[in-house]
Amino acid sequence: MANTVKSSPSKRLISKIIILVVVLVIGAIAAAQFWQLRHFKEEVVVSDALTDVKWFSDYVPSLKGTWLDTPVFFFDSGVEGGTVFINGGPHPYEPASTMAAYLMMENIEVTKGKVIICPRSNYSGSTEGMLGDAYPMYFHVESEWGTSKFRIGDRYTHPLDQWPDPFVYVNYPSGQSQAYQDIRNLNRTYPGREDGTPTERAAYAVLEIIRQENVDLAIDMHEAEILYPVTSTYVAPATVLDREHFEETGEMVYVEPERNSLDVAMMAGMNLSGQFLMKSEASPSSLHGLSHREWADWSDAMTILMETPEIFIDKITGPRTEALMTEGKDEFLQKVTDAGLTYFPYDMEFGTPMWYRTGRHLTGALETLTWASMFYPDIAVEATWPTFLEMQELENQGIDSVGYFLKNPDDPANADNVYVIYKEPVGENMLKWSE
Amino acid sequence: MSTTMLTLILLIVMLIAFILSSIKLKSPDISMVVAAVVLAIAGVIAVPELGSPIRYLVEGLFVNLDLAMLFIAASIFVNIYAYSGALSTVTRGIVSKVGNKWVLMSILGILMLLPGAITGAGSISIFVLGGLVDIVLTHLGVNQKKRTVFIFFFAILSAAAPPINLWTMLMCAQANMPYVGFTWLLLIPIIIAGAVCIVYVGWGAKPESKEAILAQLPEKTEGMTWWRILLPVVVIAALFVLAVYAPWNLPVLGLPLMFVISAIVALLCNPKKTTVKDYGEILDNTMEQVFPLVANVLSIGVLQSAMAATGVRGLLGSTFLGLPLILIYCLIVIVGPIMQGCFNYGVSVVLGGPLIFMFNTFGMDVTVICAALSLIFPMGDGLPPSRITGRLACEETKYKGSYTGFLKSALLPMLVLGVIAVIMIVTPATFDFLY
Amino acid sequence: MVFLQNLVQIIYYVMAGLIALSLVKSFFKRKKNDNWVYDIMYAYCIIPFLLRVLHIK
Repeated sequence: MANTVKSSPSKRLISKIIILVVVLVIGAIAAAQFWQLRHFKEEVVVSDALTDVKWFSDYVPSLKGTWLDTPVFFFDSGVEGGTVFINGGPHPYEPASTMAAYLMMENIEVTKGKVIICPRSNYSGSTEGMLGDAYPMYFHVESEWGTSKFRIGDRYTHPLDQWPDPFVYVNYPSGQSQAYQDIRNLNRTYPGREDGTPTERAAYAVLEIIRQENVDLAIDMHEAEILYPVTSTYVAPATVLDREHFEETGEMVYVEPERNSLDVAMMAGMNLSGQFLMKSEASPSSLHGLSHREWADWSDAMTILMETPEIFIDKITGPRTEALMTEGKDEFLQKVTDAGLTYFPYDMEFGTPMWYRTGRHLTGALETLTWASMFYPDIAVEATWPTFLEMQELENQGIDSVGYFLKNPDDPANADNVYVIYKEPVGENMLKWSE
Repeated sequence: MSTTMLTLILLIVMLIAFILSSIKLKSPDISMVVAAVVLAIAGVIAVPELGSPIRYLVEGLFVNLDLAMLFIAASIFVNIYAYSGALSTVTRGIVSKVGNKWVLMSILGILMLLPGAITGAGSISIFVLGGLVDIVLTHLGVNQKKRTVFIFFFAILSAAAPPINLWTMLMCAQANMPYVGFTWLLLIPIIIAGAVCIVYVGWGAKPESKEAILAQLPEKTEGMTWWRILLPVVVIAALFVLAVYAPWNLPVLGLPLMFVISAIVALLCNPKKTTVKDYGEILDNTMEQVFPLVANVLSIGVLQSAMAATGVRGLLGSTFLGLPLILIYCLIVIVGPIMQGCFNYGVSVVLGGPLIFMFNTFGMDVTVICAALSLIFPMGDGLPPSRITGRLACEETKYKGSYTGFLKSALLPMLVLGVIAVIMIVTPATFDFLY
Repeated sequence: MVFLQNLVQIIYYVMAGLIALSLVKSFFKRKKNDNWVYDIMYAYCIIPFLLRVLHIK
């Protein structure tokens, strides 16, 4: 009965203590899992093409020691050419983005120009799950040599690292009001502020990488719900901010860019149509804080954002298991697709498997490199990594293609190449085997 | 078994657990947690791949952690402010200056709109002004049930009122629409519905004579001056305004800290001799008073997590979206608020976003539709299981009657708002002159 | 500004800690709702504040 039952004080106290202990034990079990997720360290066997590793804190020193610091990997061919920046994990709950970055880092060869890859650009966000959305904490990839485990994070920076939220988030410098939690959304805080919130500083660090490293083409990898029109799409700006005019008058006027990334995206998308659907869309000039808008507005780089279809983000799925994340087979999404409400030809027999989404990013990025080089030969970059078609071929043979291209971090032959991805160097220089 | 059938069974299990628990334990808050736990266990039995539910159930407690802190901080501010005698002095002032019932009610309505309009949270309006409005309405001869309706309805209107409407912002964020053009689209329906509410509540109420009212009000507190009354309110208002209009010149304070700062100002402005022990007692009483609400918002997060994990959320969302358009028009005004009752602001993402995309494909004006949905969803803040705003209103007026009775009383103004919103959804083009 | 932002964050941790302490106190001794149903509610409501202060979640 909810009403007070008068019992002896000692009995009452004992019952209170029992309740408290039971609840604390449950809390402790969950706490152990939260702790493991927060401190889980992923390992990547980075290709021999690696020439340098820098950190966000090299560009924004106040990030040093925070959970927003994160490593950035440089692959310089030494041959004159352009520079490409590839951003993985801006929204850690879109795991194919980081997965694609890891596969690039493990298998890349560069023969012209320079490639810069950041696999976990919101490191903090990767250390917790989506609140109230019941995401699994990890997903597993099978290889010939064993099983690898990767995190599935949040869309936002972890509140442990940035607290509190305002009641409204105002993007700098556009002044555009957005939902409060977007102040912790890396892809709403560009171009960032050097003395802003941790997420704004991380955003500023990304812009500084693009500016200081003279990046010519910057690619941002995302995943999107299939109920979202921009799923399965390249987004690139057709016009960019006239920065001089803005600095003089404070007025935002948009002009033709020197190099047009939307042209590159459209050609790449058309050329990919034989492999998978990839639409192209112009970045709206009225919508601020997103990479495809702000990177182009506040640097000289061409920018392209890529979205793969990821049904977990749709929220209206069936039971949210790890298999739903890695295979993407869902009856409810099939139902709304049949009702004509989705923007991707979803078929639950095939789903949206991890290899498919990762492969799309790998080939999607390569294709933009190719077309950027054709449009603007002075900034040509030549690089290779696994492609969608190679992965499809392996899958047809029943081989897990993501696992196929991952190298074994426990193999002594890889000892010099195993980097630990964490918010700060693990050991002397973040190499696993130097510990 | 199909996912639809499986999740339908899980939904029924959840509902039975919720109803039985509500009857047995007489607390909707703990019943949400019981329902969540039962649902999670049933989910694991039905879909073993879901694994242990402990982590995501505990994670659910964090969904509304900031909201819980806001409620605590706001209650502390209001209780210290009220203790100083400021509220009763203001009430005396208003009653002695304004004679006309309708003018007085309109002023109260407009005042109630302000805090929620600026912060996006209707509960803030109740915390800041609910007590004062209740006293004045009592003396205007309005019965308790209708006073509760007035406070509840203006609180939800204030949450929906510009400049900050969180539902709109969340939908805009999801649909990549800029948050502009909503001012009049939201304000005009709010003014109409507010006016209806004033007439409805004030109709037939017989005010006591001014002298009789003043005689019943507490005596003016010794030493209470206008600046002592105004300063705490000016401070909180200034902090609100600065956060919106000068966000880059001060750190992000967050609503809880803003209320704590104002509580300290209210404490310094208190003319009464008050000991540390007295303040300790106020804090203790406040914590006990606000606890059911804290438990409520924390518990709803647990239920949300369980509904997401098991696919029950997916069943509700996909079933509604899969309905024929005519049924969506008819049911949105019922289903929207019900889903708000279950998911709070999450309804914007579960239902709002997909609906915006759907209407977009029909070539309809989604700015108007987004505004209309943002008027419909807040009404659910009075519905179970969460019923946050409704419950706050009941607590403010100490309404102890049946909750259903209160909801029935609130039906007319809600219906007016709902009808306006549905007209906006059905013929959005008619309203495009408003932006 | 970075320093001020860090300071605000520390204040929030302190606030969460004080709330957790207050809930623990109320769990053992309170004036209203002194029954086992509320005991359970108080107990689980302590968890998020506690884990936040401990920098776990």
